[in-house]
Amino acid sequence: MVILGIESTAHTFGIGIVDTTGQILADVKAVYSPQEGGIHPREAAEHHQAYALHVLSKALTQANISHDQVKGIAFSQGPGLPPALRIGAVFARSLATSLSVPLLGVNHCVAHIEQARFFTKANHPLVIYLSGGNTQITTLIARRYRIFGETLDIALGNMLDMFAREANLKHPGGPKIEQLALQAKNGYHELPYTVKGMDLAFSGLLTASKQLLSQGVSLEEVSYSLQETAFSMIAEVTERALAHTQRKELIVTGGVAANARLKEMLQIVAEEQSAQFASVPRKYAGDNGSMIAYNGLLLLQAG
Amino acid sequence: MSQLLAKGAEASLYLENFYGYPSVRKYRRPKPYRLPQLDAKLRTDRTIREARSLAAARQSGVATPILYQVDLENATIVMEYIAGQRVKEQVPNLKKTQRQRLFNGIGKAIARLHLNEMTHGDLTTSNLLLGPSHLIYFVDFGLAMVTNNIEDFGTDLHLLRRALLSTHHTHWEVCYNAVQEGYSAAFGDRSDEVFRKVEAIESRGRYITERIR
Repeated sequence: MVILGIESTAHTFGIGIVDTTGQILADVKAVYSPQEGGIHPREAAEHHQAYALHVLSKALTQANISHDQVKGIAFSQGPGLPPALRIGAVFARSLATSLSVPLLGVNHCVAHIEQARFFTKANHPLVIYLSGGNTQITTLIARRYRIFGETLDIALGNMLDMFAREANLKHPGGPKIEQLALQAKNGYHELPYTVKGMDLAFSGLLTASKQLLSQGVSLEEVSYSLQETAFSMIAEVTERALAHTQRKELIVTGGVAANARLKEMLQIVAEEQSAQFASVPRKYAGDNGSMIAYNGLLLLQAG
Repeated sequence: MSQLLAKGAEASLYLENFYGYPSVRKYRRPKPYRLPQLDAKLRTDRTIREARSLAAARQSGVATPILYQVDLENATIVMEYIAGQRVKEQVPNLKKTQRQRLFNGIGKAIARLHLNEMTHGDLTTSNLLLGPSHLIYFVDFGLAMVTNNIEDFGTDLHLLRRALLSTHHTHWEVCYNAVQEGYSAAFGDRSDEVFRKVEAIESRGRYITERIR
Protein backbone atom coordinates (compact mmCIF):
# COMPACT_ATOMS: atom_id res chain seq x y z
CA MET A 1 0.00 0.00 0.00
CA VAL A 2 1.23 3.49 -0.89
CA ILE A 3 0.10 7.11 -0.61
CA LEU A 4 0.43 9.54 -3.49
CA GLY A 5 0.91 13.24 -2.73
CA ILE A 6 0.49 16.27 -4.97
CA GLU A 7 2.20 19.62 -4.34
CA SER A 8 1.16 22.73 -6.30
CA THR A 9 1.24 25.76 -4.00
CA ALA A 10 3.66 27.91 -5.98
CA HIS A 11 6.26 27.30 -8.69
CA THR A 12 6.60 23.55 -8.14
CA PHE A 13 4.24 20.86 -9.40
CA GLY A 14 5.44 17.76 -7.61
CA ILE A 15 4.19 14.23 -7.08
CA GLY A 16 5.62 11.97 -4.43
CA ILE A 17 4.81 8.41 -3.46
CA VAL A 18 5.56 6.96 -0.02
CA ASP A 19 4.96 3.54 1.50
CA THR A 20 3.43 2.92 4.94
CA THR A 21 6.79 3.36 6.69
CA GLY A 22 7.15 6.81 5.12
CA GLN A 23 9.92 5.69 2.79
CA ILE A 24 9.93 7.66 -0.47
CA LEU A 25 9.34 5.49 -3.55
CA ALA A 26 9.10 8.38 -5.97
CA ASP A 27 9.59 12.13 -5.95
CA VAL A 28 9.15 13.89 -9.28
CA LYS A 29 8.68 17.56 -9.94
CA ALA A 30 8.34 20.11 -12.70
CA VAL A 31 9.34 23.64 -11.71
CA TYR A 32 7.88 26.70 -13.39
CA SER A 33 10.59 29.25 -14.08
CA PRO A 34 9.42 32.69 -15.20
CA GLN A 35 11.16 34.25 -18.19
CA GLU A 36 11.48 37.47 -16.25
CA GLY A 37 10.31 38.84 -12.90
CA GLY A 38 8.72 36.67 -10.23
CA ILE A 39 6.07 33.98 -10.20
CA HIS A 40 2.98 34.90 -12.20
CA PRO A 41 0.12 32.92 -10.59
CA ARG A 42 -1.78 32.25 -13.82
CA GLU A 43 1.34 31.23 -15.70
CA ALA A 44 2.29 28.93 -12.82
CA ALA A 45 -1.16 27.31 -13.02
CA GLU A 46 -0.85 26.85 -16.80
CA HIS A 47 2.55 25.26 -16.28
CA HIS A 48 1.18 22.82 -13.69
CA GLN A 49 -1.71 21.91 -15.95
CA ALA A 50 0.64 21.19 -18.83
CA TYR A 51 3.00 19.02 -16.78
CA ALA A 52 0.59 17.21 -14.42
CA LEU A 53 0.15 13.99 -16.43
CA HIS A 54 3.80 13.83 -17.36
CA VAL A 55 4.88 14.15 -13.71
CA LEU A 56 2.32 11.54 -12.65
CA SER A 57 3.44 8.89 -15.14
CA LYS A 58 7.09 9.51 -14.28
CA ALA A 59 6.33 9.13 -10.56
CA LEU A 60 4.40 5.88 -11.11
CA THR A 61 7.25 4.49 -13.19
CA GLN A 62 9.84 5.57 -10.64
CA ALA A 63 7.93 3.90 -7.79
CA ASN A 64 7.24 0.87 -9.96
CA ILE A 65 3.70 0.44 -8.68
CA SER A 66 0.29 -0.09 -10.21
CA HIS A 67 -2.83 2.00 -9.62
CA ASP A 68 -4.50 -0.46 -7.27
CA GLN A 69 -1.70 -0.14 -4.72
CA VAL A 70 -2.54 3.52 -4.13
CA LYS A 71 -4.58 3.74 -0.94
CA GLY A 72 -4.91 7.51 -0.64
CA ILE A 73 -4.41 10.73 -2.59
CA ALA A 74 -3.00 13.65 -0.61
CA PHE A 75 -2.82 17.18 -1.96
CA SER A 76 -1.44 20.48 -0.76
CA GLN A 77 -4.46 22.39 0.47
CA GLY A 78 -2.56 25.61 0.92
CA PRO A 79 -1.51 28.20 1.81
CA GLY A 80 -0.40 29.07 -1.70
CA LEU A 81 -1.30 30.79 -4.93
CA PRO A 82 -5.00 30.10 -5.60
CA PRO A 83 -4.76 29.38 -9.37
CA ALA A 84 -1.86 26.98 -8.79
CA LEU A 85 -3.59 25.33 -5.83
CA ARG A 86 -6.71 24.74 -7.89
CA ILE A 87 -4.83 22.64 -10.45
CA GLY A 88 -3.42 20.34 -7.77
CA ALA A 89 -6.77 20.07 -5.99
CA VAL A 90 -8.75 19.23 -9.12
CA PHE A 91 -6.11 16.74 -10.24
CA ALA A 92 -6.10 15.09 -6.80
CA ARG A 93 -9.88 14.90 -6.62
CA SER A 94 -10.12 13.30 -10.06
CA LEU A 95 -7.54 10.69 -9.13
CA ALA A 96 -9.14 9.93 -5.76
CA THR A 97 -12.59 9.58 -7.30
CA SER A 98 -11.49 7.33 -10.15
CA LEU A 99 -9.43 5.12 -7.82
CA SER A 100 -12.13 5.20 -5.08
CA VAL A 101 -9.60 6.07 -2.37
CA PRO A 102 -9.70 8.79 0.34
CA LEU A 103 -8.77 12.35 -0.61
CA LEU A 104 -6.48 13.92 2.02
CA GLY A 105 -6.03 17.70 2.33
CA VAL A 106 -2.61 18.61 3.73
CA ASN A 107 -1.35 21.94 5.12
CA HIS A 108 1.73 22.93 3.13
CA CYS A 109 3.67 24.42 6.08
CA VAL A 110 2.98 21.47 8.37
CA ALA A 111 4.02 19.15 5.52
CA HIS A 112 7.46 20.83 5.34
CA ILE A 113 7.86 20.55 9.09
CA GLU A 114 6.70 16.95 9.41
CA GLN A 115 8.92 15.81 6.54
CA ALA A 116 11.85 17.59 8.18
CA ARG A 117 11.08 15.75 11.42
CA PHE A 118 10.93 12.47 9.50
CA PHE A 119 14.33 12.99 7.89
CA THR A 120 16.10 14.35 10.95
CA LYS A 121 14.38 11.93 13.35
CA ALA A 122 13.94 14.92 15.63
CA ASN A 123 11.42 14.25 18.34
CA HIS A 124 10.43 17.61 19.75
CA PRO A 125 12.35 20.26 17.82
CA LEU A 126 12.23 24.00 17.42
CA VAL A 127 11.53 24.44 13.71
CA ILE A 128 12.85 27.24 11.53
CA TYR A 129 10.83 27.35 8.32
CA LEU A 130 12.31 29.66 5.69
CA SER A 131 11.01 29.88 2.16
CA GLY A 132 9.77 32.27 -0.49
CA GLY A 133 6.44 32.66 1.26
CA ASN A 134 7.19 31.90 4.90
CA THR A 135 9.56 32.84 7.70
CA GLN A 136 8.46 31.15 10.89
CA ILE A 137 9.93 29.96 14.13
CA THR A 138 7.62 27.42 15.62
CA THR A 139 7.34 24.43 17.89
CA LEU A 140 4.68 21.95 18.87
CA ILE A 141 3.07 22.74 22.22
CA ALA A 142 -0.12 21.06 23.39
CA ARG A 143 -0.82 19.48 19.97
CA ARG A 144 -0.48 22.68 17.95
CA TYR A 145 2.39 24.36 16.14
CA ARG A 146 2.68 27.66 17.94
CA ILE A 147 4.47 30.58 16.33
CA PHE A 148 7.21 32.19 18.41
CA GLY A 149 8.59 34.47 15.76
CA GLU A 150 7.83 35.38 12.18
CA THR A 151 8.39 38.07 9.61
CA LEU A 152 6.31 41.21 9.98
CA ASP A 153 6.63 42.11 6.32
CA ILE A 154 8.16 39.96 3.55
CA ALA A 155 9.51 36.41 3.79
CA LEU A 156 13.27 35.82 3.80
CA GLY A 157 13.16 33.93 0.49
CA ASN A 158 10.94 36.58 -1.04
CA MET A 159 13.42 39.26 0.00
CA LEU A 160 16.29 37.32 -1.64
CA ASP A 161 14.23 36.83 -4.81
CA MET A 162 13.26 40.50 -4.99
CA PHE A 163 16.86 41.56 -4.58
CA ALA A 164 17.93 39.08 -7.27
CA ARG A 165 15.35 40.51 -9.63
CA GLU A 166 16.73 44.00 -9.05
CA ALA A 167 20.20 42.65 -9.88
CA ASN A 168 18.90 40.93 -13.05
CA LEU A 169 19.47 37.44 -11.70
CA LYS A 170 16.95 34.83 -12.78
CA HIS A 171 14.36 33.34 -10.43
CA PRO A 172 14.98 31.71 -7.96
CA GLY A 173 17.62 34.13 -6.73
CA GLY A 174 18.70 32.52 -3.44
CA PRO A 175 21.25 30.03 -4.86
CA LYS A 176 22.76 32.69 -7.14
CA ILE A 177 23.13 35.16 -4.28
CA GLU A 178 24.80 32.40 -2.25
CA GLN A 179 27.36 31.85 -5.02
CA LEU A 180 28.03 35.58 -5.48
CA ALA A 181 28.49 36.07 -1.74
CA LEU A 182 31.26 33.46 -1.73
CA GLN A 183 33.21 35.56 -4.23
CA ALA A 184 33.17 38.72 -2.08
CA LYS A 185 36.33 39.45 -0.14
CA ASN A 186 36.04 41.37 3.13
CA GLY A 187 33.39 43.60 1.69
CA TYR A 188 30.88 43.95 4.50
CA HIS A 189 28.68 47.02 4.22
CA GLU A 190 26.43 47.96 7.10
CA LEU A 191 22.74 47.33 6.44
CA PRO A 192 19.54 47.73 8.49
CA TYR A 193 19.22 45.00 11.10
CA THR A 194 15.61 44.67 12.25
CA VAL A 195 14.76 42.35 15.11
CA LYS A 196 11.65 42.97 17.21
CA GLY A 197 11.64 40.48 20.04
CA MET A 198 11.47 37.21 18.13
CA ASP A 199 9.91 38.85 15.07
CA LEU A 200 11.79 40.10 12.04
CA ALA A 201 11.39 42.58 9.21
CA PHE A 202 13.26 42.44 5.90
CA SER A 203 11.89 45.26 3.75
CA GLY A 204 14.30 47.92 5.05
CA LEU A 205 17.20 45.58 4.41
CA LEU A 206 15.97 45.01 0.85
CA THR A 207 15.66 48.74 0.11
CA ALA A 208 19.10 49.53 1.53
CA SER A 209 20.68 46.67 -0.44
CA LYS A 210 19.16 47.94 -3.67
CA GLN A 211 20.52 51.39 -2.85
CA LEU A 212 24.03 50.01 -2.29
CA LEU A 213 23.82 48.36 -5.67
CA SER A 214 22.74 51.57 -7.38
CA GLN A 215 25.62 53.39 -5.69
CA GLY A 216 27.99 51.13 -7.60
CA VAL A 217 28.98 48.67 -4.87
CA SER A 218 29.77 45.32 -6.50
CA LEU A 219 27.02 42.72 -6.64
CA GLU A 220 29.29 40.24 -4.85
CA GLU A 221 29.77 42.57 -1.89
CA VAL A 222 26.10 43.49 -1.62
CA SER A 223 25.09 39.82 -1.82
CA TYR A 224 27.57 39.04 0.93
CA SER A 225 26.42 41.88 3.18
CA LEU A 226 22.78 41.07 2.55
CA GLN A 227 23.23 37.39 3.45
CA GLU A 228 25.33 38.09 6.51
CA THR A 229 22.82 40.61 7.87
CA ALA A 230 19.66 38.64 7.11
CA PHE A 231 21.05 35.33 8.39
CA SER A 232 22.44 36.94 11.55
CA MET A 233 18.92 38.20 12.26
CA ILE A 234 17.54 34.66 11.79
CA ALA A 235 20.30 33.19 13.95
CA GLU A 236 19.66 35.70 16.73
CA VAL A 237 15.93 35.07 16.99
CA THR A 238 16.58 31.34 16.71
CA GLU A 239 18.93 31.51 19.67
CA ARG A 240 16.39 33.51 21.64
CA ALA A 241 13.62 31.05 20.81
CA LEU A 242 15.84 28.09 21.79
CA ALA A 243 16.62 29.70 25.14
CA HIS A 244 12.97 30.61 25.66
CA THR A 245 11.44 27.22 24.76
CA GLN A 246 14.32 25.12 26.15
CA ARG A 247 14.08 22.79 23.14
CA LYS A 248 17.13 20.58 22.65
CA GLU A 249 16.64 19.97 18.94
CA LEU A 250 16.76 22.53 16.14
CA ILE A 251 15.76 21.82 12.56
CA VAL A 252 15.55 24.03 9.49
CA THR A 253 13.42 23.50 6.40
CA GLY A 254 11.99 25.39 3.41
CA GLY A 255 13.79 26.52 0.26
CA VAL A 256 16.29 28.80 2.03
CA ALA A 257 17.37 25.82 4.18
CA ALA A 258 19.50 24.78 1.20
CA ASN A 259 21.89 27.68 1.93
CA ALA A 260 25.20 26.49 3.40
CA ARG A 261 26.09 29.75 5.20
CA LEU A 262 22.72 29.82 6.93
CA LYS A 263 23.14 26.22 8.09
CA GLU A 264 26.63 27.02 9.35
CA MET A 265 25.26 29.87 11.51
CA LEU A 266 22.39 27.78 12.89
CA GLN A 267 24.81 24.97 13.70
CA ILE A 268 26.83 27.38 15.86
CA VAL A 269 23.68 28.68 17.55
CA ALA A 270 22.60 25.13 18.35
CA GLU A 271 25.99 24.35 19.90
CA GLU A 272 25.84 27.51 22.01
CA GLN A 273 22.46 26.45 23.39
CA SER A 274 23.50 22.76 23.66
CA ALA A 275 20.93 21.64 21.13
CA GLN A 276 21.22 19.15 18.27
CA PHE A 277 21.05 20.74 14.83
CA ALA A 278 19.80 19.03 11.69
CA SER A 279 18.45 20.13 8.36
CA VAL A 280 16.51 18.37 5.63
CA PRO A 281 18.55 16.96 2.73
CA ARG A 282 19.09 19.68 0.14
CA LYS A 283 16.89 17.84 -2.36
CA TYR A 284 13.88 18.02 -0.04
CA ALA A 285 14.40 21.55 1.34
CA GLY A 286 12.11 23.08 -1.28
CA ASP A 287 8.56 22.20 -2.22
CA ASN A 288 8.06 18.55 -3.16
CA GLY A 289 5.32 15.96 -3.53
CA SER A 290 6.75 13.39 -1.13
CA MET A 291 6.21 15.69 1.88
CA ILE A 292 2.53 15.90 0.95
CA ALA A 293 2.34 12.12 0.52
CA TYR A 294 4.02 11.60 3.90
CA ASN A 295 1.57 13.93 5.64
CA GLY A 296 -1.31 12.18 3.88
CA LEU A 297 -0.01 8.97 5.40
CA LEU A 298 0.08 10.56 8.87
CA LEU A 299 -3.49 11.80 8.42
CA LEU A 300 -4.68 8.37 7.30
CA GLN A 301 -2.94 6.67 10.22
CA ALA A 302 -4.45 9.17 12.65
CA GLY A 303 -7.88 8.40 11.23
CA MET B 1 32.76 36.37 44.45
CA SER B 2 31.21 35.96 41.06
CA GLN B 3 28.50 33.39 40.53
CA LEU B 4 26.78 32.61 37.23
CA LEU B 5 23.14 33.48 37.80
CA ALA B 6 21.73 32.78 34.36
CA LYS B 7 22.86 32.28 30.81
CA GLY B 8 20.38 33.79 28.40
CA ALA B 9 20.43 33.77 24.63
CA GLU B 10 22.28 37.07 24.44
CA ALA B 11 24.04 37.64 27.72
CA SER B 12 25.35 35.96 30.83
CA LEU B 13 24.34 37.25 34.25
CA TYR B 14 26.68 37.04 37.24
CA LEU B 15 25.76 37.66 40.84
CA GLU B 16 28.40 39.90 42.43
CA ASN B 17 28.93 42.49 45.09
CA PHE B 18 29.20 46.17 44.15
CA TYR B 19 30.68 48.08 47.10
CA GLY B 20 28.54 46.20 49.54
CA TYR B 21 25.40 45.93 47.41
CA PRO B 22 24.37 42.67 45.80
CA SER B 23 24.66 43.32 42.07
CA VAL B 24 24.22 41.68 38.71
CA ARG B 25 26.86 41.91 36.02
CA LYS B 26 25.33 41.48 32.59
CA TYR B 27 27.83 40.54 29.92
CA ARG B 28 26.71 40.44 26.30
CA ARG B 29 28.71 37.57 24.85
CA PRO B 30 30.29 37.82 21.39
CA LYS B 31 28.38 35.71 18.92
CA PRO B 32 30.67 33.44 16.90
CA TYR B 33 28.09 32.97 14.12
CA ARG B 34 28.11 36.59 12.95
CA LEU B 35 30.81 38.81 11.44
CA PRO B 36 33.01 40.47 14.09
CA GLN B 37 32.20 44.02 12.93
CA LEU B 38 28.45 43.38 12.96
CA ASP B 39 28.79 41.63 16.32
CA ALA B 40 30.70 44.50 17.92
CA LYS B 41 28.22 47.06 16.66
CA LEU B 42 25.15 45.19 17.92
CA ARG B 43 26.66 44.49 21.34
CA THR B 44 27.80 48.06 21.91
CA ASP B 45 24.58 49.54 20.60
CA ARG B 46 22.43 47.37 22.84
CA THR B 47 24.55 48.00 25.91
CA ILE B 48 24.08 51.75 25.45
CA ARG B 49 20.36 51.32 24.83
CA GLU B 50 19.95 49.23 27.92
CA ALA B 51 21.91 51.59 30.17
CA ARG B 52 19.97 54.65 29.03
CA SER B 53 16.61 52.91 29.12
CA LEU B 54 17.02 51.50 32.63
CA ALA B 55 17.31 55.05 33.89
CA ALA B 56 14.64 56.51 31.59
CA ALA B 57 12.11 53.84 32.52
CA ARG B 58 12.73 54.49 36.20
CA GLN B 59 12.06 58.19 35.64
CA SER B 60 8.70 57.34 34.11
CA GLY B 61 7.74 55.44 37.24
CA VAL B 62 8.48 51.91 36.12
CA ALA B 63 10.60 49.79 38.44
CA THR B 64 13.95 48.76 36.97
CA PRO B 65 17.24 47.71 38.55
CA ILE B 66 19.41 50.70 39.46
CA LEU B 67 22.30 51.11 37.05
CA TYR B 68 25.69 50.94 38.79
CA GLN B 69 28.24 50.82 36.01
CA VAL B 70 28.64 50.63 32.24
CA ASP B 71 31.66 49.20 30.45
CA LEU B 72 31.18 49.63 26.71
CA GLU B 73 34.51 48.05 25.76
CA ASN B 74 33.30 44.79 27.25
CA ALA B 75 29.59 45.26 26.53
CA THR B 76 28.94 44.95 30.23
CA ILE B 77 26.48 46.55 32.62
CA VAL B 78 26.50 46.30 36.40
CA MET B 79 23.14 46.85 38.08
CA GLU B 80 21.14 46.27 41.22
CA TYR B 81 20.26 42.68 42.07
CA ILE B 82 16.50 42.13 42.33
CA ALA B 83 15.48 39.36 44.68
CA GLY B 84 12.44 38.05 42.87
CA GLN B 85 11.04 35.59 40.39
CA ARG B 86 10.29 35.82 36.71
CA VAL B 87 6.64 36.39 35.88
CA LYS B 88 6.96 33.45 33.44
CA GLU B 89 7.21 30.99 36.34
CA GLN B 90 4.57 32.79 38.41
CA VAL B 91 1.74 32.74 35.86
CA PRO B 92 0.73 29.07 36.29
CA ASN B 93 0.80 29.29 40.09
CA LEU B 94 -1.50 32.27 40.51
CA LYS B 95 -5.25 32.39 41.04
CA LYS B 96 -7.27 34.06 38.28
CA THR B 97 -7.81 37.27 40.26
CA GLN B 98 -4.13 37.46 41.18
CA ARG B 99 -3.21 36.98 37.55
CA GLN B 100 -5.57 39.77 36.56
CA ARG B 101 -4.14 42.12 39.16
CA LEU B 102 -0.57 41.33 38.10
CA PHE B 103 -1.18 41.87 34.39
CA ASN B 104 -3.26 44.97 35.00
CA GLY B 105 -0.18 46.38 36.72
CA ILE B 106 2.02 45.31 33.83
CA GLY B 107 -0.32 47.09 31.39
CA LYS B 108 -0.15 50.26 33.48
CA ALA B 109 3.63 50.14 33.56
CA ILE B 110 3.87 49.67 29.78
CA ALA B 111 1.61 52.70 29.34
CA ARG B 112 3.93 54.73 31.57
CA LEU B 113 6.90 53.77 29.38
CA HIS B 114 4.99 54.79 26.28
CA LEU B 115 3.85 58.09 27.81
CA ASN B 116 7.51 58.75 28.47
CA GLU B 117 8.13 58.26 24.74
CA MET B 118 9.94 54.94 24.92
CA THR B 119 9.32 51.27 24.18
CA HIS B 120 10.78 48.17 25.78
CA GLY B 121 11.19 46.27 22.51
CA ASP B 122 11.20 42.72 23.87
CA LEU B 123 8.28 42.28 26.24
CA THR B 124 8.00 38.67 27.35
CA THR B 125 7.17 37.16 30.73
CA SER B 126 10.87 36.23 31.02
CA ASN B 127 11.75 39.93 31.06
CA LEU B 128 9.38 40.84 33.88
CA LEU B 129 10.34 40.14 37.48
CA LEU B 130 8.12 40.08 40.51
CA GLY B 131 10.26 41.83 43.08
CA PRO B 132 9.90 42.64 46.78
CA SER B 133 6.49 44.01 47.89
CA HIS B 134 4.87 42.90 44.61
CA LEU B 135 6.70 45.52 42.59
CA ILE B 136 6.94 44.57 38.90
CA TYR B 137 10.47 45.06 37.58
CA PHE B 138 11.16 45.47 33.87
CA VAL B 139 14.53 44.18 32.69
CA ASP B 140 16.39 43.53 29.45
CA PHE B 141 16.11 46.82 27.60
CA GLY B 142 18.56 45.94 24.82
CA LEU B 143 15.94 46.48 22.11
CA ALA B 144 14.36 49.58 23.68
CA MET B 145 13.69 52.67 21.58
CA VAL B 146 13.06 56.34 22.12
CA THR B 147 9.90 56.91 20.15
CA ASN B 148 6.55 58.63 20.10
CA ASN B 149 5.17 56.52 17.29
CA ILE B 150 1.88 54.64 17.77
CA GLU B 151 3.24 51.89 15.52
CA ASP B 152 6.11 51.23 17.94
CA PHE B 153 3.75 51.21 20.92
CA GLY B 154 1.59 48.72 19.04
CA THR B 155 4.62 46.50 18.35
CA ASP B 156 5.44 46.48 22.07
CA LEU B 157 1.98 45.22 22.99
CA HIS B 158 1.91 42.82 20.04
CA LEU B 159 5.13 41.17 21.25
CA LEU B 160 3.73 40.71 24.75
CA ARG B 161 0.50 39.32 23.33
CA ARG B 162 2.46 36.87 21.19
CA ALA B 163 4.58 35.83 24.17
CA LEU B 164 1.44 35.17 26.22
CA LEU B 165 -0.16 33.26 23.35
CA SER B 166 2.82 30.98 22.78
CA THR B 167 4.09 30.53 26.35
CA HIS B 168 0.92 30.77 28.43
CA HIS B 169 -1.65 29.53 25.94
CA THR B 170 -4.11 28.43 28.64
CA HIS B 171 -4.12 31.78 30.45
CA TRP B 172 -3.28 34.22 27.68
CA GLU B 173 -6.71 35.76 27.25
CA VAL B 174 -7.23 36.66 30.91
CA CYS B 175 -3.70 38.04 31.05
CA TYR B 176 -3.90 40.08 27.87
CA ASN B 177 -7.33 41.51 28.71
CA ALA B 178 -5.93 42.66 32.03
CA VAL B 179 -2.95 44.23 30.25
CA GLN B 180 -5.35 46.14 28.00
CA GLU B 181 -7.40 47.36 30.96
CA GLY B 182 -4.35 48.57 32.83
CA TYR B 183 -2.93 50.15 29.70
CA SER B 184 -6.15 52.04 28.88
CA ALA B 185 -6.44 53.31 32.42
CA ALA B 186 -2.94 54.78 32.38
CA PHE B 187 -2.51 55.73 28.74
CA GLY B 188 -5.86 57.49 28.29
CA ASP B 189 -7.84 58.32 25.17
CA ARG B 190 -5.32 57.27 22.58
CA SER B 191 -5.12 53.70 23.88
CA ASP B 192 -7.81 52.53 21.43
CA GLU B 193 -5.62 53.79 18.62
CA VAL B 194 -2.76 51.66 19.96
CA PHE B 195 -4.99 48.58 20.27
CA ARG B 196 -6.13 49.00 16.66
CA LYS B 197 -2.47 49.16 15.68
CA VAL B 198 -1.81 45.89 17.54
CA GLU B 199 -4.48 44.23 15.41
CA ALA B 200 -3.06 45.74 12.24
CA ILE B 201 0.43 44.46 13.12
CA GLU B 202 -0.91 41.04 14.01
CA SER B 203 -2.73 40.80 10.68
CA ARG B 204 0.59 41.21 8.87
CA GLY B 205 1.61 37.75 10.08
CA ARG B 206 0.76 34.82 7.86
CA TYR B 207 -2.52 32.88 7.93
CA ILE B 208 -3.79 34.51 11.09
CA THR B 209 -7.37 33.32 10.61
CA GLU B 210 -6.17 29.72 10.41
CA ARG B 211 -4.52 29.90 13.79
CA ILE B 212 -6.93 28.38 16.22
CA ARG B 213 -6.26 29.40 19.72
